[in-house]
This record gives sequence, C-alpha cells and structure tokens, in this order.
Amino acid sequence: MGVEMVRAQSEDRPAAEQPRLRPAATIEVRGVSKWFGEKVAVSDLSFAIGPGITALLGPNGAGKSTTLKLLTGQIRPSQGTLRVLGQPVADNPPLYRRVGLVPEQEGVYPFLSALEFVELAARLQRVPNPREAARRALRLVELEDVAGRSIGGFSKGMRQRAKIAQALVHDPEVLFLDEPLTGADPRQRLALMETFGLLAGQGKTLLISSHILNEVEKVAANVLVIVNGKLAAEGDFHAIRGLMEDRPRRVQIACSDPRALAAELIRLAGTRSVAIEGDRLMVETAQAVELYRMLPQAARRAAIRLTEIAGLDEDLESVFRYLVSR
Amino acid sequence: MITVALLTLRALGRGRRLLVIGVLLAVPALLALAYDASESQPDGQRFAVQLFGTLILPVLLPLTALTFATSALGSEVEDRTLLYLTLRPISRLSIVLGKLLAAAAIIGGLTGLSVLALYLVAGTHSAGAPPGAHDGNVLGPLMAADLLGSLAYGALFLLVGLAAPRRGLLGGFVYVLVWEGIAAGLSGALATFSIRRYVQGTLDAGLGAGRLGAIQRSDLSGVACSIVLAGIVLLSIAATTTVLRRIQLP
Repeated sequence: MGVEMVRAQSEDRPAAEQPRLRPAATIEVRGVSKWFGEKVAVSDLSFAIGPGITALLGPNGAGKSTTLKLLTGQIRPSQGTLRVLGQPVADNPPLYRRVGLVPEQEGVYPFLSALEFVELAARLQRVPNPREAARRALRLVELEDVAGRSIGGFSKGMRQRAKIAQALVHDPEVLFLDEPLTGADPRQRLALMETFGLLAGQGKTLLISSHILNEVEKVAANVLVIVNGKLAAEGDFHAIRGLMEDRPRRVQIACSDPRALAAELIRLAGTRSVAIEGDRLMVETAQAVELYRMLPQAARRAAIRLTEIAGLDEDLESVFRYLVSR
Repeated sequence: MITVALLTLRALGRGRRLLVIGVLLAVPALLALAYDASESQPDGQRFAVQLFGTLILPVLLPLTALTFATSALGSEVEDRTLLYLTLRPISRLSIVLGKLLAAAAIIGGLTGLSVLALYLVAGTHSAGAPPGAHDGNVLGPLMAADLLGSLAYGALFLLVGLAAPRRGLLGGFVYVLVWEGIAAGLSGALATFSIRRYVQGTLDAGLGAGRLGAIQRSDLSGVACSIVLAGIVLLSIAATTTVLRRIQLP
C-alpha cells in the first residue's frame, strides 16, 4: 500500500481556529526508523509539533504505539533522532521530570490503591507533598471517591483514569497519551477531553494516540496520521481533507425535486455517482469544491429549492479510512 | 531508592512463593529437632554449622535469592510496569539499589529466620561437645555469612531477572542445583567460581580457628572472601544498571 505524505495548513478557517504557529517545537522527530528484526515498525518519520493537542492516528499496527515508545525512551530508534523539549529522549532521567506518559498497556501494580499508585508517581517525581498532589490528580480524573480501593479490582476505564492521574501528578510540560479514552464512558470521555483541552490551554504539549476519532477531532486541530509505519499526513485536519482533491467524497442533498437535480449533477465534472434516497440525493464526487460551486447554479437552472447540504465524510474517520485504503 | 525498595518489598511479600519458601526454610529447624531428639549427647553447635554449610548455604539461600531477586526486576518487565520506574527523574542506579535493598532484605530476613530457628533448636544444646570446647558465639558468624550470601546471590539474580525475565528463573534454578549445590562441593577448582565458597570462607573466618571453624576447611582468609563477595555485588550492580539503561521495553 503506497502512502503519499500530505502536509497541510488550513487557509480557509478563521484565524482563531488555525493551529497556532509554534515558537519552538517541543517534540522533534527527524528521519526516525525502527525495525524489530526484519519487521519495520516505523519508517523515516519526520515531524515537529509544539504546544497544544496533536492527535496521532492510524490503524492497529500502524506504528502509533511504537512512535510513542520512541518518544518516551522506552525503545531506541534504529536510525534518526528524537528530541523532546530540546533534549534527547533515551536514558535521560532529568527530562522525565517534565514529561508524562499514559501507556497503552494495562500493567499496573494491582496491590496498590489508586491513591498509592499516583502517590508513588508523585514521590518518584519528587513532587512536594506527594499525597496531596495525588489526591488532586485523582480528583481531576474523578477517582477521588475510590482512591483507597485496590487498582487490581478496577474496571478498565477506572484503571485508565488512574494511569492518567499518575501521568498528570507532576504537572508535566509534555504529555504522551496512548489510547487514553479506552474504557471510559461517554461522560468521562467528555470530561477527560475537557481536561486535555485545559492543559493545552496552559501551553502544554499533548500527543494523543486514539482510535476514537470523533472525540479527538473536537480538541485536536493538528493531526499526524501514520499508515504502515509511515507518516501519511500531518497538519490541520480540515486542510488535509481539502488537499486530497482526488479523494471521492459523499455529499447528501435534500431538495424539492431530487430526480431533476440528479439529472443536473450527473453532468458535472468529477461526479462519480448520484443516488436518490427518498427526498434526498447522495452524490459521490471526486471534485467536492467544484460540486459546491456548481450546485446553486444547477438548482437555479432546474428551479429546484435546496433545503440541506451535508458532507458525509468530513470527519477524521473518513480521512483516516481514505488514507489507509490508498 | 527507598520508595523503590518499599514498593518492591510490597510486591515480593505477597503471593504463594512466600509460603513455599517459608516451608522450605523451616526444614533446617525440623532437621535440628530430629537431630536433637535422636542424639543423647547432641553437639548442636556443630550440627548447626554443618547444616548451614550443607543445606542452607548451597541450596536454601540461593533458592530463596533466586525466587525473590529474579522477580524484583523481572516481574516489572513481565508485568509491563517497569516504565513507571524508568520514566522518572531518578537514576537507573537508584532503581537497582532500591531493588537490591528490598530483595536482600527479604532474602536475608527469611533465611535469617531459618538460621535463627536452627540455632535456637540445635545450637543451644551442646552437651555432646568435647570437654573444654569454647566455641563462643556461633549465631553471629552464621547470621553475618547469611547476610553476605543474601547480598551476593541477590545482586546476581537481580541481574539475571532483568537480563532474562522469562528464562532467568529456570536458568538460575539449574545453576543453583547443579553448580552451587553439587559441582562446587566436588572440587576446590570448581568452587572457585561459586558464591558458596566465599560465603563459607567468611563463616569459617568468623568462627575462628577452633573446631567449628575447621569443619569446612576453607583455604581463603575472611578478608579475601569478603573482597570477592563485595566484587560480585558491585559488578552485578554495575551490570544490572547497564542493562536497565539499555533495555528496550516491548
């Protein structure tokens, strides 16, 4: 499966929604590859990200976790360099005071209570008053009421939140989160995403690997998409979406006369198919911009009233699915 | 280091292994009871020293060390919790020292209890000792040797557990039984490469030149044995720290 790198910066979004221009990258990856024996896990990755939330997306086995492990020094690159906060990552304990990690794996100390688990992290991070810091972190992830319970008896979602608390307890500047929303219910997801948003607002850098794309999409303006170990896309999600001109997109149109409008739209350049579904049209086009430009004219010609136009695959899931299928 | 040590003590102090090792370590006291009951004139101190040299030192001490020290770091790798220690602003050496401190404490504590029980059952009954024999304090040298052995075996098996978390226990078990248990007892040349020899040497030095000190016929001075044991501990700590710095977590 060939992957063509897409690098994009939004130009058609309001300035306030633009990913901020970062004064200095907090995470820099240059030409990084990692192979295990003959298996290439990631290949020639290069990117730089700064404060704010960046989503790391990709299918299972794409190399997301490997990338996070490389960035947190758990494994070393076969080639290339990684720097976090301007420092090399591997075997660099002073750097780890400024970094937090929520690992994907379930491993915890089952004999510790949630409070002891987070307090352990606080003590190892040399946080003043570690018990109080641990309580604060547990409050943030809504585990305060079960702080005294053993983590071994926690549900997956509760364990995940305990792992988030231990990553936050020392107030790190850079936070790596590998599937942090796993097991959380919708309300908790919302609360966690709000927390992540707050942290980003404080100028921290968050790199979130997640497959729950619609949740990530709400807070992460910047995305990195990894497919088959290679960086397939980087930059603003909407801009990436717009740059992929050859990508078929589906547009749903509600109007007063679907049949007549279908006859008009099928003649447009780029239209691949038009299907009538009740009072709606489902148009698949390779040139969405052209479709949006010509649609009012076509409707006017046929004296049709348009009541709704909706792009059906503008979400991250669709972008991601397309990149994977290339 | 203390935080790591306390965490490790809690991790090691649970589960069935504590029970199994506890039962094994009760064997010397049970044998002493049997000896005491079967002998009309028991030489209990001699029996205690002999049993230490033939059962505790070559088998029970290394088995206990193997069980706990390989787990101290090995289970962190297996359970995928090691990153909660390594991704912290503490040196790898601190982690290793904390782990060794906890492992040695639990190994030395358990085997020390076994030695104490052996001494209390047998060592205080010396009706069968030769007239005029003044053996002094036997318990002190036994405990000191046990502590040194706990440190040396603990440091070695800590390294084994980290370097080979899955096969370390099996490999260590073969080493304990075949090398420390059998081969080192067969010839002095083979014993040169065993920890057992040097722990025995410190015990003999502690017991002095009397009849008990001559039981195992150690040909090395206590100082030389202590230096070798210290070397084993330091080299093991250095190697474990190096492995920890280079380890790639799956």
